[in-house]
Amino acid sequence: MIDSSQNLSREIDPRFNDLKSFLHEEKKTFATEFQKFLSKVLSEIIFYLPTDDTLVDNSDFVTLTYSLQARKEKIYDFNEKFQIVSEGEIPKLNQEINTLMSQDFLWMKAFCKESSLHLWSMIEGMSSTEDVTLKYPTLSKIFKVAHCLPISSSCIEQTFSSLKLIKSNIRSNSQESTTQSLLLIIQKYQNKLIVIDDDMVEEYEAIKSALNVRKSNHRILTQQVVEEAKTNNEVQN
Amino acid sequence: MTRDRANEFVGSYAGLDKLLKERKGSYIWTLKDPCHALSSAMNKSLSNLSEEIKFVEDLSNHFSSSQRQAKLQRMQKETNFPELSMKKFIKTRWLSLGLTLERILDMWEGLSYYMKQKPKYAGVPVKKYEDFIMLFESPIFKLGILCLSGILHKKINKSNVKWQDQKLEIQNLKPKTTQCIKDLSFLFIDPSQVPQDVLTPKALKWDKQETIETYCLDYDRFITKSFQGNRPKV
Repeated sequence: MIDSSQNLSREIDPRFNDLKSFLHEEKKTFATEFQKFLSKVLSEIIFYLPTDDTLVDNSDFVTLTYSLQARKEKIYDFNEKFQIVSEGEIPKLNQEINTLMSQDFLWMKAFCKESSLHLWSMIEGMSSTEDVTLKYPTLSKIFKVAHCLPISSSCIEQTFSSLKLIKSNIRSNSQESTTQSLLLIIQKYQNKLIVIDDDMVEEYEAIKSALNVRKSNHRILTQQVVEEAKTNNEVQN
Repeated sequence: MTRDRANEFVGSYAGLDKLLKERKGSYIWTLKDPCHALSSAMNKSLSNLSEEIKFVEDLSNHFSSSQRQAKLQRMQKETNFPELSMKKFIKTRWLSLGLTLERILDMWEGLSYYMKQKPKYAGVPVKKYEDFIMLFESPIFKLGILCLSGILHKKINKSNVKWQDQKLEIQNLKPKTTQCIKDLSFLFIDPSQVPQDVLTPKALKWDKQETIETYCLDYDRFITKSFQGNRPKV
């Protein structure tokens, strides 16, 4: 039997050790209230989260950790759901899995830690060569689909809220390409500082002076046009 | 496709899910969004703690006026309490309650001093202040707020941040889910009693009253207690 105040003081805050000094009745109300609350939270979370999704269970073949048979089953299940590879190509797929399994990629796993996307691009050797022909043409189709599956809609909603900053009342008719590149900058530097170095300042100055020249030329040109029109008018008169 | 549980998506007659499945057959796969799931699970279960929630709402309503905020800041300056202002609790913002509670705990002494002074404002009866003082001086209530803020801020917001990470890949979804549930269950359950597979609690009946002072619950009973009768419909 364990007192729950120990759990709480360990997990949340050491101040929960004071709980021992309270009266029995007070302790009882406190404990029942929060016990109910927490069990409700847990049951709701288990209900709401995608815990019983078979596709999520199956799609962990991308880590390449299971035995050959288990992995094959998972890949076939996945393929059945999305119909990526047609039935005629399945023997080819089987062969590819076999050849993949014969390889040793422990060092690769150690190198890319948890990212399976990184692991797969290393296996395919995409980063080193620019050659488009792939080692595992059918298997890589399946892996691509598995990596494309969205996990949460939060990143999309974050983009919407950052779009609100870019497109304001004053600046509402920017080009699509401009908006896109601004959004990409926000995505990339979401949690980082943007460091402005000397090169960037120089580039900015160059662009600005070029723009100024264009503007002043434009002004001179327009002045010329107005003067010409005036002289023309005078001549006509 | 990932979606939240809005009626437009999950509706059984004209929801997007149903329409897409009718059209394209097996190629559509839908996933419940974990971040939305967390926030809606919290919103549902907060109805159990009506006293604490009413306290937070009343407090943030009271300090919605800038005159009162200025008064509070003046008092904090005079008495050398930390000069902080309230953070607003908004129901639609994901889990903003955790941050609000954290801030209230930081300002606890300053706030209770303010309530004891009972500054006169139109529309704020003296009884309101007395109610506040009663709550501020009760140590068990403070522990309650501490517990709630710990659960929200240290446990749930943490896992929400993990799920919002753009580098999260699909194979990590399940381990992260189980980790989140385990973290929460460690609070009130003896760690040795939490099973490996936390996602499938057996349907056991909650039969006898626990002795509250030294309770060590086993996981299944802990979960199934709240399941009885109030499990939401799919």
